Amino acid sequence: MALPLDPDAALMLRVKDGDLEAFEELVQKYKHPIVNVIYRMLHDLEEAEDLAQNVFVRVFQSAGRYEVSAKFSTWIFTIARHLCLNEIRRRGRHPAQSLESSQNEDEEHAPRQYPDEKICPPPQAFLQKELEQKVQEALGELPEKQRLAIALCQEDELSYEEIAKVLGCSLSATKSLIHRGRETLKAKLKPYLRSGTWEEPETETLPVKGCLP
Amino acid sequence: MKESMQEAEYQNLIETSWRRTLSETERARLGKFLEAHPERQESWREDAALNGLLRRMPGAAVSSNFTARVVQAASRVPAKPAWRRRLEAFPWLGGVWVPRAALGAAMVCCGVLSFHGYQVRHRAQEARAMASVSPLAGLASIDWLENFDTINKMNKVQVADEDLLTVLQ
Repeated sequence: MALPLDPDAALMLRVKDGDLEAFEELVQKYKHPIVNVIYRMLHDLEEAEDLAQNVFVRVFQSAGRYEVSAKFSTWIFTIARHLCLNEIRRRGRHPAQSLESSQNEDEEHAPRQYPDEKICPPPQAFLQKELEQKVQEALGELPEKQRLAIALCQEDELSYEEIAKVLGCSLSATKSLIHRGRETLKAKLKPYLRSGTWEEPETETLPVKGCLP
Repeated sequence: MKESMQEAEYQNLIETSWRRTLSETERARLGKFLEAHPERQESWREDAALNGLLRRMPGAAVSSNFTARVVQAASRVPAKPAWRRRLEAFPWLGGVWVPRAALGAAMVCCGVLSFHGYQVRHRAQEARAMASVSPLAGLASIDWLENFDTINKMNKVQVADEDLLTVLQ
């Protein structure tokens, strides 16, 4: 008995025949996870969107080579991984000057501005923003493969086996990459993990005495 | 045995918690394990807090016209020429090994040709060297061999010279 065809694979078969509507459906379904993963890798939203666009165009171009036996999500994330790593290498070779840094230089000469004491941002939102920044910084300092493994781990579309396929390593090596990445993150974010500045999600609370604050 | 099973299950639950929020049953199992192993509570607390941090990280906001842009870009991709489409009917031809094999074959051909060239050059060089020496190495005249037998026999002493040996001693 033949296995039922994966819906994404069915769409890809239509894309193979040049069906743009099927392609649009795939873009609609995968745009968020793909942009998210690339954004976690590059930390530049515009660049992430441009690269994600390239990923989808590459999918469209290579539709003829797509084999139904391969899971579509694994295939598209593998393309995204290749393009991401190429972009990181390209950046390494031709480092672009950050607009922020030149802006900061301009600001040094600009007249100094003082915050209005009467208008304060809500402290919780301010703290959250700071934490997001810290987490993003800590993620950015991880080695590329660990960062990618953790970014893929946050996506619901992929199982551990599929993440391993995307990364091109064994299942145990993938779990080890994630574990090492998380250990580094825990060490870097320890004060934030302990202070409880960012309250934990309620769903993680366990019915063990003294287990969670 | 039971201990190692519990350990494996704990590890499994931890790995699940990295990806998604644990279900009620899973949390109950984890709670039971942590009750029995209070030394793991601190580690779990940190893990859970990190899970929270990562899950609360806002996703990238994708522009509203992203899909339209992508579809437009894809529709602008020029259609592949007929030979390319025919080639795609044989996916093994587009495999990574084809260019590698072609490169390997080209390298072997280059090696064979350069070795053959070297051999041809080497032989020509030897032939030239022999040709330059050959006029000097002409055959000896037959008259030189006139007393060959006599001279040859002079070296061969048949009997030991006893008198000479006695004098020498």
